[in-house]
Amino acid sequence: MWWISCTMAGKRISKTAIDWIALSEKIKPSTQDSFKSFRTKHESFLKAVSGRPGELPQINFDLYKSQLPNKQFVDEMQKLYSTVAVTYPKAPKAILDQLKQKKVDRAQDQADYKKYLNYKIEEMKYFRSVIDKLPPPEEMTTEMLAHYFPDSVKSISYVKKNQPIFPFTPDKPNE
Amino acid sequence: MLTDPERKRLLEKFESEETLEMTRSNEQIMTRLEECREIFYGPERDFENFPTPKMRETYVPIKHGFIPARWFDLLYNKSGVAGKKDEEVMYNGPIRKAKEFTEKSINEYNKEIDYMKNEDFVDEVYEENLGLMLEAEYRQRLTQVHHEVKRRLDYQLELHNTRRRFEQEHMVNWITNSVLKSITPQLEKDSIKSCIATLNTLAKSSKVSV
Repeated sequence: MWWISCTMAGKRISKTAIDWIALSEKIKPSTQDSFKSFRTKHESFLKAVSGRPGELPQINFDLYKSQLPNKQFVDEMQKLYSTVAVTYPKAPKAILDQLKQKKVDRAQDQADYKKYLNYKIEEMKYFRSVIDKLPPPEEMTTEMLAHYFPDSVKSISYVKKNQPIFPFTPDKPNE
Repeated sequence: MLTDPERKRLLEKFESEETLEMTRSNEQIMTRLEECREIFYGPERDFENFPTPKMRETYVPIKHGFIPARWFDLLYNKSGVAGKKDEEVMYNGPIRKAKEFTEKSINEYNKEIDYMKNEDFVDEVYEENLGLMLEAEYRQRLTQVHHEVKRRLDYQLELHNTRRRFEQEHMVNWITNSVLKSITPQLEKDSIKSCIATLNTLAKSSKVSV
């Protein structure tokens, strides 16, 4: 991962390497808004980087030397300024660990969701198979209908145990 | 399949209260239909002695000897003929809708699975954000260094300039004050006399006619 090289070798970055336009066409329509806010957050980081200079800005030491009497001071400043070593900041280990954990969690969530969807597809196929096996209307008698669809029949004799009848007491199902 | 514990865990993770209730009721319905199928078409059913009944397509035609038949025709227009029409509304219609619902659901779930492949960009964006934040911090440090050095140099410059200006002003004031003080009254009278004398000579030499 390039962030390892960033902390070690100090590799610098100032632009995105991601094709946002292509991504916006590929995502689900229901997640468009969150994608937009995600993108604006990323652009705020880009703005912070582009609003500042990339290298150490120059100072015109000759101007100062010509005007000030104390040229030794200016010489010292010049020497220090040319040899200054600004350290590139290092990402703290806690954040790198957090990033890793996020990646793992996201992969896990994705796998779970995929499994869930597959379960749902199987469920729907099972429902379809059960519905296909229903008898045609010519063969359906009232007795069978009371067994299959008790809600559609008002006679009490075929009502199953947990079907509510008057008085409706959900705590004690009809005995 | 319905008793899988993994399935139960995932259902509770991804479904809201309402959809959970719906799936549970659907499961109950399906188990009931399966049981009924076992009862009526299962291995214990004796199809030879108890064959499947076949409903008539129409009512048994009733006609009293003295009532004209067209009254029955009128009635048929209003009440309809039991059989195919009721079937469609009460039985086949809902079954067809249920089948369509299952198909639609399967299509939607497959679409979701396809969309999920395109969501891996999130990790890259997080990494980029981190890199950009570090870069911004580095640039902030550069500007700070530049700002501090410039500040010190500008201070020295300002100091020097103000000192010079002050010295100049003081010297000028001192000189003018000392000159003004040295003008004694005797010197004044002498200077005025000499001025008048020069003016007289100039007047004589120029000879301006009035």
